[in-house]
Amino acid sequence: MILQSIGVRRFRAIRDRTISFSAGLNIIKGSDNEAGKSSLRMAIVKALYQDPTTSRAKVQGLTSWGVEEPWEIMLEFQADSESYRMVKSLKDGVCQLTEIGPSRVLTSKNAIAAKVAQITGCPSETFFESTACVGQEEMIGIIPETTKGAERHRTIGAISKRLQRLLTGSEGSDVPALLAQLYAKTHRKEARGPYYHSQETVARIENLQVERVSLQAKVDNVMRNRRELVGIEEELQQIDKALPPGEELLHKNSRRLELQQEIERDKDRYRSFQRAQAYRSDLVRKDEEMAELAGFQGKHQDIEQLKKANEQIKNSEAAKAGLEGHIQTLRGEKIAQRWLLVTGLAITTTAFLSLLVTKYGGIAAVAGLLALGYWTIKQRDLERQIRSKALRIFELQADKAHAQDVMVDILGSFGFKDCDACLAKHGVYLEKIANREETALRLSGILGEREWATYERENEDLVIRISAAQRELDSLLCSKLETIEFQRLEQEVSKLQHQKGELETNKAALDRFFDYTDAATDQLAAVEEELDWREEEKDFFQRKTRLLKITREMLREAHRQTLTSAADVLNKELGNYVSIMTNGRYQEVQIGEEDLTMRTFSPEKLDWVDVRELSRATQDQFYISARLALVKLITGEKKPPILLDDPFVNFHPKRLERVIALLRQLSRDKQILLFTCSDVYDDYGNVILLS
Amino acid sequence: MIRILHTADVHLGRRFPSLRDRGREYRNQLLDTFERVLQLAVNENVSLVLIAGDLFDTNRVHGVTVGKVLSAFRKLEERSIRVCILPGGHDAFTEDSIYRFVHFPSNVTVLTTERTHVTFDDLDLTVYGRAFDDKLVGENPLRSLSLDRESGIHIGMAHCSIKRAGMIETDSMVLDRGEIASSGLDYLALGHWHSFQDHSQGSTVAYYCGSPEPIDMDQKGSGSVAMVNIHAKGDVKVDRVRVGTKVFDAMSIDIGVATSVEQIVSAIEAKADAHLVLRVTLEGLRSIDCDTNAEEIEDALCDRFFSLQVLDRSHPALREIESEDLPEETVVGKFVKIARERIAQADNKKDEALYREALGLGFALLHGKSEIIE
Repeated sequence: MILQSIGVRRFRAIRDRTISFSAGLNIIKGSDNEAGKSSLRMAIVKALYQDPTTSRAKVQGLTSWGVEEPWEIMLEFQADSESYRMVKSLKDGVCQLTEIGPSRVLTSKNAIAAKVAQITGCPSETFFESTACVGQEEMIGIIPETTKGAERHRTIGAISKRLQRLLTGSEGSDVPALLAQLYAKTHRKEARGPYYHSQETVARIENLQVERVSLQAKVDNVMRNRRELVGIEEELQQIDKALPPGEELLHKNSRRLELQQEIERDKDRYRSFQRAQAYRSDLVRKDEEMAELAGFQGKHQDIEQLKKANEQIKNSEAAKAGLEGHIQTLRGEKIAQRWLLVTGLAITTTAFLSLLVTKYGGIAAVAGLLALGYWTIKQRDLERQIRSKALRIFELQADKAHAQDVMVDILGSFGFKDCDACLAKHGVYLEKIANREETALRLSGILGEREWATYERENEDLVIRISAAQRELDSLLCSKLETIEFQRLEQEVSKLQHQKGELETNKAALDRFFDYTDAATDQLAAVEEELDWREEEKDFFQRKTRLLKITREMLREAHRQTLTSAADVLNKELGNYVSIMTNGRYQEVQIGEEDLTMRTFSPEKLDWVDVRELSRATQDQFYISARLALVKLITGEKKPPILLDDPFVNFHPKRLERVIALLRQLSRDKQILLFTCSDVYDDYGNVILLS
Repeated sequence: MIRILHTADVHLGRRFPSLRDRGREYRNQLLDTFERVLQLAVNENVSLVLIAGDLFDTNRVHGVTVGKVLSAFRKLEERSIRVCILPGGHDAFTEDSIYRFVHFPSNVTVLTTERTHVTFDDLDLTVYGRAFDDKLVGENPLRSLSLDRESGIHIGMAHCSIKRAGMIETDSMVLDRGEIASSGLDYLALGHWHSFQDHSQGSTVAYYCGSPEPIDMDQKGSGSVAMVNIHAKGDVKVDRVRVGTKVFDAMSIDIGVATSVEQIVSAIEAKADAHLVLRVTLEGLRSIDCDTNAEEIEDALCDRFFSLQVLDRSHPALREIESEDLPEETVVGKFVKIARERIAQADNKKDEALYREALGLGFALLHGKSEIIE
């Protein structure tokens, strides 16, 4: 491809300029940095690749400062024996590629882009820039001059890395770094990529599954219990149907018995009331009878005194009679002892007489005297006793007289003269009192603590109540069960009630169970809900992991194949380029397929050495050679023009000589546009002055 | 006049995995809304509440939910408002049906496979319905229901689809329009479709009331109940009453047309509503310059919605990549070639899509977009 001319209007530093190029080496010179070299280089690129219909500010901003109309460029070039005219006008949004020979015009953006890609071998602006364009910055300090030792060792891969990067076909991509990044994202959790998220999600899913199993068991339990509850409720319903009639019948019969008892009780009560009424009437009557004996009331001591006096009189009379009898006895005894007097006297007399005969008559005289003495003492004692008794009789008579006086007084107070009559009357009085008390006691036993009026009020409605109860009882008699039937019904109802009670207890227990555990159903729903979306999330991350793995795998393969292919071409071309650049010092180069590391045959060592062991300047020369060789490699037979934006500006003159030699060599086959401020290239190509 | 409230497809206890953390909240919302619907019945002094299927989303419903439903029904019982429930597809009258486990208050009648009608003498009205028991797929729900000639008003309930040409229903009973017309019913309360729809035919007024709250995407007609006023036989008026609190909406954004992430965010932000469940699908062909990240957009805007889900269903602009005819001597060229080969050799659509995505991803990475895998 040979650029023939370019017309540039209102593009950055170039207001309006048409420039013609020649084949081979073109030296485009500007006296200073404002001459428009970069603008021209950029205009060529934009002419080939820019879509003029874009509204991007960055592209609009390429229009020269201070003009209203946007830029337009017309580029004429030759390729494959055909002449082309490319017009790009931001002003009109025109994009046109004319194939001059057959006068074929392309206006479709895509068609034009495809044609340019076909002609240049560079599918995009970025690709063209990174392949066919070499700028100053690319040549500056491939390996900094000052680096030494370990630091230098670390940078020794710089050349091959740069070459690799050029081979990506895009701008700024470090394929090994990308591969490492993709590997980390798909294999290491700490990279926080889809692998990490996938693992996290799987862990969460496992936890949720464990939780689900537990909740499922709870829910199953809940469902079982719900069925049980339904069974219980159905049983309860049946019992609730069966129980009321039985309970009602039972209730009627119980009520009947209760009424019977109630009526009996009320009748008893009424009878008591009637008795109480009789007692009460009896008491009234007795109180009336007691009125005539009222004189005895409160005279109990008088009666006692009366009784005592009466008794005293009787006792005195009895004692007097006894004493008089005793006196009689004593007197009789006194008389009866006369024999003793006679006997004594006889003995004494006889004795004294016998003394005349015998001395022993004295003894008999003593005995006679003793008998006379005894008789005398005895007489005296009896006399004393009689006098004593007579005295006592006298005292008794005095007491009797006193008692009689008292009696007369008391009897007089009661209106009686005869003590026995009085006491008999008092006896009647006492009997009536006792009788009344007994009646009062009976009445009190019925009344209790109640007043008669209260008791009477209480019993006023008793008859009505008994009557009502009786009517109710009569109405219940139709439901009357015989005792055996009643007992059987009672047992049945009791059994049902017991069953109901048990069922209700079970139901309450189940209800409590549901209160505590039924929430598990909702928790299960929540867990299953989360499981659903976590599964989606897992699928998403696993798919993303797989996507990254596939991408990495394809990228690694593409990288490997590219480097292998590049190494092959570089092995063929690079020796020639390096020979020119080093003035024949190094002529052979071997390229590593793995990473494009370069080895060259050292004439000094007569062996292959790693380029990284050579001087920095020599490494630069190897890089420039490889860089230019890569253009051929990448673009193949398309041969786009090479645009050099003064990349060798800092080169030492001697090294520059070798570069110029290489450029001359290359320009035989390719068009080269070298943008520079320097005059050093003037003798080696078509010089185009911009200033 | 007889006033009837017709609702259906409440789906109490439903799980909402797509709502993520807010699933449980929305599940509770369904219950709250249902309680409000029954309160509406009280406020509007209706005589009868019809629930035409899917009151519950499953036969395994949280006991507290059932408790609240029973409590709400008891409030209607206090006002002598009758309730007729027809089991639907989700709460089908199967062996383990929830309707076999729950003892409803006396004002509630559950129509089953055995009990297919209930008459309310005081209203001179009979309600007919045949419960779905998962063996009746494709059958006519009104078949074998004979009208009680002693009733003045005949109300049908059916949880079914309306027959559509070329469509075969796999999960419900099906009703033909002609069958509606010939049913002899004064009103047919329909359930199963979640949007409010009029399917009246002949002299039979038939409506889907829609679900009180939307249950899924694409249910813009949901969020309502039907208030049915029967002035006289043949004079039936149906009003739609909105009861829903939430709206489900979906939007698609062509990521290939949008000029920036900000434009996409603005488009979503324009719909911001705390009651909106929004699903955004990013589709179209994504250029390698596009740095849109669905998760980041979702995180940035989720607080502005009840729930926001942003799905990236876009595809890398492969035509763009393919048309560039990249040199095979470069990594990118080789990569595109390998990827194309893999795409061509893919055994299935899933793998093909994956390789296409890998092509877009690798292409973007090779163009310096390494942040897309950060």
